[in-house]
Amino acid sequence: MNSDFLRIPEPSGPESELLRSAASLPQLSPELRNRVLSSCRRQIVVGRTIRTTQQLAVACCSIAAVAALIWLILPGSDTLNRPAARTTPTETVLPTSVLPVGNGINLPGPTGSPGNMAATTVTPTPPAPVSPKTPLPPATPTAPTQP
Amino acid sequence: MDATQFQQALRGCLQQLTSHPQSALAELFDLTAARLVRYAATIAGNQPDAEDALQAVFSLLARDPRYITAAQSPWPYLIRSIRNETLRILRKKSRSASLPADTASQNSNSQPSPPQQLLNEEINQQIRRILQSLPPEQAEVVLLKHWEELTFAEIADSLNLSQNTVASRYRYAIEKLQRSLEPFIR
Repeated sequence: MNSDFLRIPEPSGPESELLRSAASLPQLSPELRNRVLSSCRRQIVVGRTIRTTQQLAVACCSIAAVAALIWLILPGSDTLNRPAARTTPTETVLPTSVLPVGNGINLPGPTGSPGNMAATTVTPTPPAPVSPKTPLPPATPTAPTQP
Repeated sequence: MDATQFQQALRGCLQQLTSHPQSALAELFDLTAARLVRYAATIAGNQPDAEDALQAVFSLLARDPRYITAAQSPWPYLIRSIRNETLRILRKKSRSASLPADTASQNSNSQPSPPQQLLNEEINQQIRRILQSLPPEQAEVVLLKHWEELTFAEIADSLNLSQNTVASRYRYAIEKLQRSLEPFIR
């Protein structure tokens, strides 16, 4: 897209010369150069710090991503997760056929796991007989109720 | 220094910007600061704000020079940068922009001039006054074209406008200027 297409009058002729001649450069403040360049010096340091930090962050993220990939892709990695499951104590259910039928009760151990594999037989003890000779405590007399 | 030499010198500065940033920025300042301040002053209406905008632009260049080194046309990039910074400063100060505070004439008046130079300066002041009388958006296009020597495509890019808009603004401005400048041409 050129000027002909847009029909823009290109600057030519005496008026453009006059306009160009009117363009004089301003006199800058005397301290401006030092002010700008000292600000630039600070910003160069800031920029370098930012870029270094960014590069470090990218490197760390890359390393973390690669490590995660290796951890996932490694063939034995799933077996590495299993020991935790294996070490978990599980309740062993004994087959009922092992238990002696009608001879006793298989009591669990104090930790909740079955203690001895052999069944502990508890013999039921008969209740203690009440002696007829034992005197009963005297009944406490109660006050007669008033009508 | 004509436009071609200026562009070459500018590219030379920018090539050194990543390897020797401090010396390249100093060189870039010497090359462009006055022109950038002149343009910024036409937007801001005063020189201190224009200088603040210049400082902001150079700080951005120093912090991250990749953008300007990657720019195809660095001079329009600088013009756009200083324009954005000037407008940002103006927004911050909530001032209304006005066209050119006569910074150039104030400074040039401080130097003694021979009679012919004095006459030329008088004419230039009147031309600047005529430019000030244009609507700001038209005057901006004329200044970018004649003073900053940008192409119409670069002006459109710098001002975020279509080339048609730039062309129509320029055409209206030139029509007015031709009438106003007629006495000087004679």
